[in-house]
Amino acid sequence: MTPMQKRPQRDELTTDAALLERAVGGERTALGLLYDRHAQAVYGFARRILTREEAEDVVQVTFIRIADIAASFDGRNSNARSWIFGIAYRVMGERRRKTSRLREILREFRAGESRVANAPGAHDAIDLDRALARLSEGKRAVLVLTQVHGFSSEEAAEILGLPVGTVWTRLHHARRELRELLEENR
Amino acid sequence: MKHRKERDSDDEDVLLQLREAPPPVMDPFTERRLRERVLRGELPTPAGASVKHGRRLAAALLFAAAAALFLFWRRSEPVVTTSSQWVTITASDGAAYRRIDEEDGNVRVTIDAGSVDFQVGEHAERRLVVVVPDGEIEDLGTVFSVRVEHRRTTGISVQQGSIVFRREGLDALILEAGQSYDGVLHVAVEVKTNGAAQGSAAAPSPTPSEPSVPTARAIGPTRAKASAAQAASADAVGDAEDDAFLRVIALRREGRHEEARLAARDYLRRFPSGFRRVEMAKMAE
Repeated sequence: MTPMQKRPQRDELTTDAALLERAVGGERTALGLLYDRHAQAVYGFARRILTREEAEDVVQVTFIRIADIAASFDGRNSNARSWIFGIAYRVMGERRRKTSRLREILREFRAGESRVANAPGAHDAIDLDRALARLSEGKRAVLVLTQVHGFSSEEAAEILGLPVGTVWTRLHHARRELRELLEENR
Repeated sequence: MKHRKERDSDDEDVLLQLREAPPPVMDPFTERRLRERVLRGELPTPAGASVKHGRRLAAALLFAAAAALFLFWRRSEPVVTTSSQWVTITASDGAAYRRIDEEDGNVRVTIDAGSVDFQVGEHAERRLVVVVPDGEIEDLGTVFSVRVEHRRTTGISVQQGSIVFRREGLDALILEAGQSYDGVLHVAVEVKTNGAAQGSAAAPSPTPSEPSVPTARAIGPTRAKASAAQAASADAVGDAEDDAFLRVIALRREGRHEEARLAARDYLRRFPSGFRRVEMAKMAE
């Protein structure tokens, strides 16, 4: 090891499963480490489905819930990352149900906002986001989990609480629709 | 009509585009704030929980109308908003930005596209954070402009004071008055984490084709991986660390550079694994 190389600290080597175990005992350091490892990814996932403020709330609620139900994690049946994303997805569902009426009202406003955001030069990058936003939430979730976060279809099925066959079907339709939406925009 | 193979290939291109698109990222300030709330077990305040359904609906409609009015108003050039005394924001026509005044007096502005100018007055106890698609910019008492195109920051120009530009996945930059940054040119040297030991002297000279481009100093990555030490005593240490960090920022804003340097050294002594250690190391130089 050269002097420049940093020796990994003990906690950096601890597995998520071990941290969850420690969190069961109320150890906040363990919860903090889990947050540091996964908060950005959970946010990235939630933000593809919800608004920024909602995604931030999802992150907060997800990790508080992790602390509450860490004892129910069973490392034999799933990996911790999928388990955490599964909780986040359920929190997102609760959030959507609570705010569905409000979201409906604001949809028109958001359409206006995206027109303004469409300033000269901003087209290319915004196109993908807009196309993604037009997919149904179920398809979007499958696409984001498998393509952006690198989950396998089986893991995505576990997170979303769906049969793996449904995940495959949704993925197939999602990528086709996304391509068509992008072509429409061009 | 496209052949099936051709369609499949297009689908793959779309997926590739999706995989390569920069993911939505929480700015470090928010990340930190939420972390503290999580460790305190504090749930988000339910929006309008106590408000009856009809009133909530009316409020939402009112908000949508106000927002539409605001967006319409924002289109004429230039648009100036002066809703607080210490910060003035001027957006060019077509610029898309959002401003959030947070409860603690801090202001967060998110720029999606276009050019936005900032004029920031005395505000030692408050912070202005500009969130851009590829990072965030924090002022240190200043006048500056930011341009965002194609979801990237393509220009920053500092007229007074200084700013910190924390770039997603890259090292942060401090730009002083008179300096500017061109996101495409990347003239500032990439100094890796042990930035305290490597100064701006290591920065290469601008190429002849970019004569006016800055000699911005590079500092280490701000997205410091929160380590065990950081998490070890999350609450008390976290608050003290924040206070120490904010003190350095406040001193710099007030132009008290020598005191800021000493405060930054004090931060490093107290929090050698602190969340802002790299930035503080640079400010301690």
